[in-house]
Amino acid sequence: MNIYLHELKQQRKATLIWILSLSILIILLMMMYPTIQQDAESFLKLLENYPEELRLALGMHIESITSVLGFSAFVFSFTMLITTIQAMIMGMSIISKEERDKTADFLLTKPLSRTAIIINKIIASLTIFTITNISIYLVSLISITMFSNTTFDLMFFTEIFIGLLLTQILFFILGLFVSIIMKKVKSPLGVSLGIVFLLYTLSTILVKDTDDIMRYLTLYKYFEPNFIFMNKSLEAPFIILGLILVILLLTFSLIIYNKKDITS
Amino acid sequence: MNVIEINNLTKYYGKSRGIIDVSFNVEAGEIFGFIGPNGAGKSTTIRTLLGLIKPTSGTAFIFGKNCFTDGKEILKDVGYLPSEVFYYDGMKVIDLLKYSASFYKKDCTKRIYELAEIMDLDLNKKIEELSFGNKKKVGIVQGLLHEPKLIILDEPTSGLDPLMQQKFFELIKQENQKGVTVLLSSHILSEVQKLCNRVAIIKEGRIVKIETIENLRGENYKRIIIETDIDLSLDYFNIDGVNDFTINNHTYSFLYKGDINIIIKKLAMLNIKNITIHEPDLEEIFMHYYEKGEDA
Repeated sequence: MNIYLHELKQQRKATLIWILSLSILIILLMMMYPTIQQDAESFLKLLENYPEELRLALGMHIESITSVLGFSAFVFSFTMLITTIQAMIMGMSIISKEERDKTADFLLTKPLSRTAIIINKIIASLTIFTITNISIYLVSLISITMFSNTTFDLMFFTEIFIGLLLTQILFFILGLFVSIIMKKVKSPLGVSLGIVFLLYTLSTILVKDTDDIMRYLTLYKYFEPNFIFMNKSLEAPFIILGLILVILLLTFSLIIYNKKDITS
Repeated sequence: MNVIEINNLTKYYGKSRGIIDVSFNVEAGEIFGFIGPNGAGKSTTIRTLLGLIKPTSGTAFIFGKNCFTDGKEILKDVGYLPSEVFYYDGMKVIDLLKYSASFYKKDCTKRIYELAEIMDLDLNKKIEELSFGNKKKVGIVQGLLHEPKLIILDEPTSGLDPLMQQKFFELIKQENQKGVTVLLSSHILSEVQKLCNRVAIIKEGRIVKIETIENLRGENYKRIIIETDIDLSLDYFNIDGVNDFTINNHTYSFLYKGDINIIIKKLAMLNIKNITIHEPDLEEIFMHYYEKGEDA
């Protein structure tokens, strides 16, 4: 419990900054919606001039972008890129920072197991992600209601956010695993950004449709907002697959970390 | 009863040596010195005891419990002061100490204030504002606040001014009088000499000697320095027990260990201008172990 609270306190400022910048991004993008809605035809024509790859990379789907939920899906697939960066950095640094800042000598000589330390830190991180997601969920709801006059399905909107949270957890655990198998993580930010952008680019190049086989390989498309929009809900197979991945990566992380030498 | 029991502990980092076949015991209630130059393996041994490092082979027990599987149980009663202390930035000293105390299932508040008083530590400062020496004080309080039964100190006095060192040693002595066992690693002999009952000397990863301070000092080593008028033959003192032989003009200096009568007879044959015979301090004996080379 004390590690959990300590971790929340340590991350307080960073989390506030993440929430603030995400909120600003969402509000700014949502402000564009009234114009797009009014001028839907010319906007679509403009979009058609762009190569399909670019549109997909930006998460713009011609069929849906002018509807309020379609546009939201575009906004949130963009948001997802950023929340996964937050998750990945957190995963990469939550354990490794103790070694980098040499506070491991303090924490690991306390009477508790390494497993307990990791679990406490994971729960703290999940709390932070939940707070982040609920905050931007509310900001999004408010800005959609402000900038569009049409009604929309709240349930489906909520599912997009559950998808965002699940994707964050996937990237967090991936980051944790990578940081533990690496001998020393000198720059969690650099490694995180590298992995995130690589996976993001691969996902936009390789995955074009909801039933694309490559979808299984790129974490980004498991709970992609546009796909949720097309399927009208989260997809069970990907929830199960995600869960299996999380359990596997977590188990390996725990086994490896419990054997790891903490050198000064 | 042994508080610490180390048997044939070996650690390789990949191919490079950490420690080889280290074995020693620390008895309950003693202050045990662990001495050797930087890189000899003192910290590796200590970190292995604390479970921070997993050994290549060998066993280690603290309070009769296995250091590699029962760390959680052992660490409840162990206080550790690392050679360099690092804490979370942005925290106040008191918050860090309370955080540290929260890991032990007892109320440590009173002890925190007592120790801070003794070590003259300002509890309301932020940790990143502290000097190296003051950080070390935080480390000392942090290591002692839960009243551990075993205190492990890795190069404890670096960074402390002489007055604080004095206070710190008194603190450790007081704890020891209460029955606390202490393992103290150092490369400074005088502090080991002042505090410890026994020492283990480590060199290049191996223990070269385990001895009580008294024996180490009084192992009948004598430092003999004589001055003569004439040149002596170099072989004159080439007898068993003579070590560390140096000549400076007509001054001959050496360490002698063995039958005093033999050396006195030798000396009596000479025409000596001046002579001093004294007990070498630990420093000299220590250097002697190190200079002897591989077979020491």
